[in-house]
Amino acid sequence: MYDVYLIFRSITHGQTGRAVLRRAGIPSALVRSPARLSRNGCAYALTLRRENWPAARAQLLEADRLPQSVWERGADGGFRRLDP
Amino acid sequence: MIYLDNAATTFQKPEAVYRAVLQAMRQCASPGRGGYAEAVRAEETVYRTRALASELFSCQPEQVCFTSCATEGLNAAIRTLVRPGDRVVISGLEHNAVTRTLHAVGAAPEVVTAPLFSPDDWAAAFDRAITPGTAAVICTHVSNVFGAVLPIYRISRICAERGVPLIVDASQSAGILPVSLKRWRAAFVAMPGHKGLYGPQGTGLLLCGRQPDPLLFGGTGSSSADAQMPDFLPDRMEAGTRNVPGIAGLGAGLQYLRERNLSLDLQREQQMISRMADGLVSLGADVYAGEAQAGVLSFRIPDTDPVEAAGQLADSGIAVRAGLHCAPLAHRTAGTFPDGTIRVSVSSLTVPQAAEVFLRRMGGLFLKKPGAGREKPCYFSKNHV
Repeated sequence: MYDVYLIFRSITHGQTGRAVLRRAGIPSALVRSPARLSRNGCAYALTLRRENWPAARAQLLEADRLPQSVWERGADGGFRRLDP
Repeated sequence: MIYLDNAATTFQKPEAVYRAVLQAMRQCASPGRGGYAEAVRAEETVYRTRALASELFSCQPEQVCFTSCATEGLNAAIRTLVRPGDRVVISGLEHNAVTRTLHAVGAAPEVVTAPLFSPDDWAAAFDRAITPGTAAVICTHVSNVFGAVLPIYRISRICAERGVPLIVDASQSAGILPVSLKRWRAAFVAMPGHKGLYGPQGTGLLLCGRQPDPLLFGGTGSSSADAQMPDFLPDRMEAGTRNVPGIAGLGAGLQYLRERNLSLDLQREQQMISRMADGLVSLGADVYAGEAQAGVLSFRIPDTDPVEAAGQLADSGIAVRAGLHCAPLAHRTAGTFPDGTIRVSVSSLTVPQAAEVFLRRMGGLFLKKPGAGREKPCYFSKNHV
């Protein structure tokens, strides 16, 4: 289950981030961001497994592709902000 | 038909381009607007093309903005950097896409000239003209009339040293010569998708080395609650639904280029141009040819109207373009204004026999014995439609 959401303002930024993770062998999926995570209107989220977040963060940081914000979905369906 | 008008558009495309356009029309919905399969497919199609372009032109994917043509990109670039009364340095080979836009903005262009096929002289002329007070330098990479290759890298160094932004019109070079946003440190590079990149008409790219001002305002599928256009690329420059079938075809064209040896293609195209230049000279035409020349050649036939001559060639199955080629400034620079020239231009899909047939028909129609017989029109393309 993908439970971490990396929010990107532009779909192109999300796609580029996904390409970085793909090259590093980290599975992810690009989806439209839930409305409650993008209060400024449409945005995009790369979703991945919680245990992959540290490695993903390192890869995205290296590529200068950090997302705008990062969220973890809890068991109750709510979101908790993580440090990008 | 023997198609020798590739500087206008590469009418003959790789088969994969036709297939990609049709496939996108059948399978792609609006990109960046939905989470269902057809919308995702459209997004992936657009991104694939963007990524291929970013690899070919040495930039990041988000620096690649889709336009409808090179003219749109040049308009956006010029309107971003140039204000009324600004001093702008341009080459004497620029297209109306540059000169009319500068006129509309109210800028004061300083036109740099040099012998057509002498890169050293062009570089020296730009060196003299570019001053710290210059608002922008605008230069075509390859003349759309004469095929002359301008020394963009050297001009870019001068611009960088003097802190002057550079706009490059790569309409005749993209997909043919090395084009690099990074190496040139250009503010903007504009190009069509339907010439050397083999995409469909209605496509183009603007490579952005700096933040552009949008020409169009509207929906981008991002930051929708904001009243202003997004401040990030490419969204800032891509309001409205993009031309996904066109972009899909452009992606297939870029993939075609990726699988080819571009320097070998260029060498082959230059050989064809050289062969036609030699042949035309021997037939008595006035030919504009030189060392630093891409796959475009202009010539004139003594005492013959170029447009009428092109019409006769068309009647005999040869497609060329004649007149001013939307570049009156280039013709003034070369001394071929106002009648213009006849232009032939080749692509990687032009076969060498086309040059031979063209020369035979030229001899028969204009430059050999009067009344020489015409040959029947025939195809010499590897990939005609």
